[in-house]
Amino acid sequence: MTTIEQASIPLASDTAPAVAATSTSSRSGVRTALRVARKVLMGIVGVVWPVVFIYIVWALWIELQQLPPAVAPHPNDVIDYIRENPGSYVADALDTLRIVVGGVLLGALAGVALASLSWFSSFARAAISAPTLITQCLPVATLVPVIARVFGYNERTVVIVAALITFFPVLVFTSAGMRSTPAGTTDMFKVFGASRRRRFMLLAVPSSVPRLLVSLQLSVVVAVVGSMLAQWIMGANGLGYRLAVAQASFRTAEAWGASVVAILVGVLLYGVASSLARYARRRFD
Amino acid sequence: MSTTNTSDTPTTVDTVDLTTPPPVEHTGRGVPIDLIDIGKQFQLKRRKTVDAVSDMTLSVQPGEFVALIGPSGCGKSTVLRMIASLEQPTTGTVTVDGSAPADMASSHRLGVAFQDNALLPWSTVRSNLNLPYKLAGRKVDTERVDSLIELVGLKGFENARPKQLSGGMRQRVSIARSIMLEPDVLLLDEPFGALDAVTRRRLNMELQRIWMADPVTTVLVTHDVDEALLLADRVVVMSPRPGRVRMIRDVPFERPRTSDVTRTPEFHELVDELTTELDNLSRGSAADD
Repeated sequence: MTTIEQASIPLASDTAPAVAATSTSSRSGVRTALRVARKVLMGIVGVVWPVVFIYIVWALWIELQQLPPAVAPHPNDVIDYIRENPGSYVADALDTLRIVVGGVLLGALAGVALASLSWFSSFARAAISAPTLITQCLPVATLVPVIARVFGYNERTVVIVAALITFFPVLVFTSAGMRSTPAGTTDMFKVFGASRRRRFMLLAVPSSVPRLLVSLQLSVVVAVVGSMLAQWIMGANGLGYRLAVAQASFRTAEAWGASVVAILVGVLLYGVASSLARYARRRFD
Repeated sequence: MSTTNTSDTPTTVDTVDLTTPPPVEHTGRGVPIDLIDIGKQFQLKRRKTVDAVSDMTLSVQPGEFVALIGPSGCGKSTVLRMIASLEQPTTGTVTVDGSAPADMASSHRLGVAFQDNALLPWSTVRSNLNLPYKLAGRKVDTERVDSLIELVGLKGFENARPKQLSGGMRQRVSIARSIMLEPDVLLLDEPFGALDAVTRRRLNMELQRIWMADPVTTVLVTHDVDEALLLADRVVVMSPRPGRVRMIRDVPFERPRTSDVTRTPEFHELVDELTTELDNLSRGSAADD
């Protein structure tokens, strides 16, 4: 026992006191395990709690208001419907996922390209900012028929809508990120005689990465909603179209089921984007 | 310009002659800096300007180490930024080796270290030190990088990222980076200003050692009298608003200036003289406000 105590003394300064009886390695093992358990628990609570909350509020609302299924379904009916027809939703969910990811990537590409142009030229920045702002002031409902006229009443239009939703936050955040370089670095690059191109590649681009990913975190969720709205308006296919048709036919369990699937897709994409953003913050700041 | 071609023979601490009295001819490397009647005005609001620097003339000889000291807001950093090509003088001219500072910068002949270490947080120590080569479009000289890592005592930390280092270690990286390309002029803007007194003292000693290994024309901006006297050949005291040269003192002590030197009455006398002058200047500027 004495040897273990002695071994732990040099390390006692940076750990909690009065734990001298356990060896340092097993003590830190326990601490790591506790930390992991805590993290997992937080994760479960983070996911489970909102679901439980929504379920209770939804069920209470239906039951207390005595709403008929034609107006709004009970959560149990929706769960049953999804459980009975899982395949159809999987196909729709994958379609939506594909469209949204494609649109978000396209929009991010456009946003980064425009942000880069703005970085290089203040004339470009002035020329870009007003028209891009206007695209964001128009509601998706107004834009969709116009875009569909150009690209056709098909998936391509939905992808374009998702891209249009994404590129603006990406442009704004990436531009800001490119300008928020670490203290003193811009001066340092100038004194070392760096060309504009090198200042862009070695300083502006890495500086912008964390904010770019935060903008994607915001965009993916809105892009899911936007693409569903586009499908609804165009009435061609997809989760949004299915929601529209089912709602119109008073198959509310199916319609709300589509919403639940859309929420799951949005949450999944948000989760992926926020882990990327977290990683970028650790790596780049 | 005969002093500049010592650069191709590797200068080490051993080659610096410690027995001769302080040289008026500087044995170091580098190019002269000339500030002629420079003034700098900053626009505050419309039609309201402030004179940061006014009628300042100063020549720094090749291989000379000059410290600019003065109360805060005396424009000493502004002077350094003008030499670094980061600011343009409103009046007068700044030349480095007879040409514009911007030309010196674009030919990668300036080295700089700031109070903010200005390291790239996403890069390791090693790639931060490779940066001057990349910015100059040159091939990275790994041997040179290794030797500077060794010189500033960062061996074993090559793959650490800046946030894993202490403030003092970050400044060592910053200093190593500033001299990486063997610049003709070294500009140091309060490089140890954010450090605690003990670390600062140690790094001052180390900077002295690093500088003696390759004594190049250097301008140091500081508000620390001891730091200035420990490192510089000449100390220039600036008065505040507008910044002007108020007093110039030669520092006669031989290098290396160890703690034995800093304990001598002569050293203390100079510290007292400069500190008193700074106190008077600060009082004057406080009365202005």
